[in-house]
Amino acid sequence: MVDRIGLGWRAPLAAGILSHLDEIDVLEVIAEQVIHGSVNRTRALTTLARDKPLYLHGTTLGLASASPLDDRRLDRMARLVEAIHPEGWSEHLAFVRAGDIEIGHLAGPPRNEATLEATIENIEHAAHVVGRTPFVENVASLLDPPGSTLDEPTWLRRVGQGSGAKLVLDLHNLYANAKNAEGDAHALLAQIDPAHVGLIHLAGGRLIPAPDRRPRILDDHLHPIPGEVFELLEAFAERSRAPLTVIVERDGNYPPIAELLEELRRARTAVARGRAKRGDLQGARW
Amino acid sequence: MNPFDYTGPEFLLFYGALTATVILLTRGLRLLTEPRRPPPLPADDPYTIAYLRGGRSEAASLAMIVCVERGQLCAVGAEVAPPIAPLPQPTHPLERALCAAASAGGQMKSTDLAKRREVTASLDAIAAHAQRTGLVPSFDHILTRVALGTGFAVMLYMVAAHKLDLAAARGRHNTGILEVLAVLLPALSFVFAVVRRRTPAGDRTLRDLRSLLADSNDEGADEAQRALLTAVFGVTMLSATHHALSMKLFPETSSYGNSNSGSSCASSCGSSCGSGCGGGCGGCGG
Repeated sequence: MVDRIGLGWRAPLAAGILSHLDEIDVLEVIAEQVIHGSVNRTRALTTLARDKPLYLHGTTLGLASASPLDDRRLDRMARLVEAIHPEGWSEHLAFVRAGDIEIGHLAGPPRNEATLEATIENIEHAAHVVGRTPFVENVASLLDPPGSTLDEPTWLRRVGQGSGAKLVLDLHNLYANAKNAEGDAHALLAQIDPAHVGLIHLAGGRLIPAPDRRPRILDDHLHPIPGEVFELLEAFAERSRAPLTVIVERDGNYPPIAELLEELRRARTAVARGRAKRGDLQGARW
Repeated sequence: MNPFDYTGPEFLLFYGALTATVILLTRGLRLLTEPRRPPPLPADDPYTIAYLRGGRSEAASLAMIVCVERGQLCAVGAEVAPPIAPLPQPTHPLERALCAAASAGGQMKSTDLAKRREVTASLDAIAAHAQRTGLVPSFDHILTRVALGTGFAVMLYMVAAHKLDLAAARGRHNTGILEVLAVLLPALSFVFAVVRRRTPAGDRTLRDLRSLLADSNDEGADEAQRALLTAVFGVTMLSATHHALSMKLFPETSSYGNSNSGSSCASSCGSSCGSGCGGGCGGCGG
C-alpha cells in the first residue's frame, strides 16, 4: 500500500515539474489543454504517462447538467484517453452551460432527485463513450444551490451508488462549502465514505466579500492551500484503508516550484500523520 | 519507358526524383533499424539532453554556465577561472571535471577548458550513456548507416554514369549538369543517410521535451529548471542576466543569438571572489 502525492500539470509549471519529477508521484493534466493543443504535445504526454502515473481531468463536460452531454466533447475525451492511456480520467459534478450559453464556471447543481437522475445518466453515457468510468469531483459553491433537497454528502453518495463512479474528493471545495454555509468541514467529511473516494484534490482560495457582509471562500486555485485543508487530509487518511492519491492543484499566480513542492511535502506529512493515527505507518511513502 | 531513353531534361528530373526517393528510403530504413521507442524522459539529466541537442560542446557549455552561476567557476570575459575561495564540490561528474580542469589549468578560454582531458573523459561518459539508452546511434547503427549510405550513393552514381556513357555513345556532349549532379547527389544522399546525431528515439525525446516545455520560461526558475530549459532550447531562451553571462563565455557560438558586450558577470564571482560585477570579475582566478 503506497500513498501517492502529485501535482497538477500546467504548462507554466512544466520546467519545474520535469526537473523535480522524482519528488512528484503522480501528475494530473487538464484534458482541454491537451485536446486543443498540438499533436506533438499529446505524443509528449503519452511518453510522460509511461514514466509517471497520469490522470486526465476534464472541466467542460458538465456531468451534473440536466441536459445531455455534448457527444463531440465526449468523443474528443475518448480519443485522448485512448492516446495517452492515463490511469484514469475525471470530471466535475457541475453544470457549465445552459443551452448554447457557456457560463464559464463550474456551477454546483441543485441537489435533488431530478439532478441526481440526470447526473447518473450522464456519467453512464460518458463511461460508455470513453470506455472508462470517470472519477467525479465535488465542486465548490459560494451559496447552497437553490432548489436543493438533499445535503451534499447524500447527493454525492447517491451519485456514486447510482453510477459506480468514484469520487474526486476536493478537500478545499468541501472546506469552502462548509465555511460558506457556516458549517463544520470535519462533520461534512465524516459523512463521506472513504470507500467511495478514488482521488483527492487539494487547492487554495481566498475570502471575498458578499452582499450579506459575510465573507465567502472562493475556490480560485490561485493561493496556497490553507492549513485547515491539510487537517482535513490528515483526518481522511486516518479513516481511509485504501492507498490515497492526492493531487495539489494550482491554476495561476504560480509561485516558485519549491513552494509547490513544499505543499506536496505537507500533504505527505498530513497523510503520514493520519496513517500513524490508524497505526498504519507503512502507508506513508517518504 | 526505359529512363535511360529519356531526353536530357527528362532524365535530370528523373534523377532528382530518384535521389529524393533514396533519401526518403534511408529515412524509412533508419526508423526500422534504429531505436524508435523513446526511453524515459531524461528530465533530471540536463547534460544528456544538451548533448542530444547539440553534442559535446553544448553539454560542456551548459555545465560551465551552471558552475559559473554557482560560483564554482568564475567568468572572466570569455574565459573561465577557478574561484579563489574553495566551494563545495559539484556533484555531477562533468561539473567536477570542469572544476578540476580549471583548478589545474588556471584561467583559460571556455572552449579550451572543454577540451581538457578530464572534461572530454566525462563527456565520453555522457555520450556512452546516450548510446546505451538508444538516444544516439551506436557503433553498429553508424556502420549500418554508412553501409546503406554507401550502397545508395554508389547506385545513384552508377545510374548517372550509365546515362553519361549512353549519351557519349549517342554523340551527345552537353552533359555538364548531369556530370555535376552525378557527384553531388550521391554525396548528398550519403550525407542524409549517415550524418544525423540522433536516432528516431532521440529525435522523439527532444521533440517531446520541446513540446512539454514550449510555454516555459526561466522567470523565477531554480537552478535545475534553468539547466533543463537551457539544455532543451539553448541559452537563447534564458532571461537577460543569464543570457548575458552565456554570451560572454561563448561569444563565438552563433546559436546563442545576438552579441552582448556588457560587463555583467551575473553571480559568478560574487560569493567566491568578493569582487563586484562591474569590474568584470577581475579579481578571480589564479
